[in-house]
Amino acid sequence: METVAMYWEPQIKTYGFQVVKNLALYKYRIPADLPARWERAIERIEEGQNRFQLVCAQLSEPSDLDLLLLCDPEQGASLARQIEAEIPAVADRRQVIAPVELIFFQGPHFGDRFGVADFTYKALKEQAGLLLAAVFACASIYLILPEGAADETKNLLAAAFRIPG
Amino acid sequence: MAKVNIKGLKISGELCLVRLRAASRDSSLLPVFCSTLAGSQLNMPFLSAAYRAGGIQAAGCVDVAHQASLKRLLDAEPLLQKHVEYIPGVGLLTLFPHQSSMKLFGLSLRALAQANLPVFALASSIGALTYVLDYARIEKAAAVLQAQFKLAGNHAPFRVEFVVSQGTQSRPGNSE
Repeated sequence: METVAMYWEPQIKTYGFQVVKNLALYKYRIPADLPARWERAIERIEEGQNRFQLVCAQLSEPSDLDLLLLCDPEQGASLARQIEAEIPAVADRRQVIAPVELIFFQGPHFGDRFGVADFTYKALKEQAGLLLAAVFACASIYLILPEGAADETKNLLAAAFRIPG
Repeated sequence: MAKVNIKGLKISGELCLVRLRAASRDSSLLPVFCSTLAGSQLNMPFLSAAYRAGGIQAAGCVDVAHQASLKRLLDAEPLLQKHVEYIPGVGLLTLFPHQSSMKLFGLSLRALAQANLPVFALASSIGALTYVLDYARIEKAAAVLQAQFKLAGNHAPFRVEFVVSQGTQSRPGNSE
């Protein structure tokens, strides 16, 4: 049985915006079947207390995953060294953008409601053209931006979304 | 070695993966895609987009029941029609919390690869790590991750038994 209900917020609520600056965005192209050398490289970065701000990946070609890893610059450099110790050739192929800035926020049932991504892009206006990456997963939204863009972007989002007082 | 603790594993219903790719960085591609779906009240429980100088690459998931109408909608949108590819029969496997841990990420990615379970996409959120996987093998993937991690209180992977979705339209196939 299905119950159809309508809940519509003309101004979508969020619990507030978090901004993190001075991050590094690492991009790696990984064979999707993780051959042994890549498995060993991934195993290396599992060691210690390595942390990420965001990881995301998608198939770029049938056999490759494009992995984005957002973390503190020191952490990213350390992870890169560990990966390149296993696969030296990766050093020539990976891309690093730093510094970058992150805005993330969440709201009630964002993942279950249509229109939240649309509302976000409309709120961003021209700033959408600056995005380096965007993730909408579960009830969270993560936007990665070049250095200096987060504050203006946050102002645009704050003007569009409602933060209950 | 002690297993890493997690609190749970959640399995979604069946979804259709939509891949968007454009060789140029047209800033209107994603906004038009999202606007088109919103206009038809289609929810995306997962969307990940990566932008680079040479183009845009995105992966979004929609309830598989809406696949036919989704295809009609996107095919009718001139800006999108040449940039869309569909992969039906995917599902989301979400493990939580990820604790921002590279160890947890690496262990889960390697476990899925060792079991020959292809990953179409993945993304972290504030507390969870979500994999987009072949729906026909998602139970196996859940079992693989269950074996890799220690679930709190001996919890088992659980399927979403009901879905809260916003809208005024019935889900296709639910006519009662």
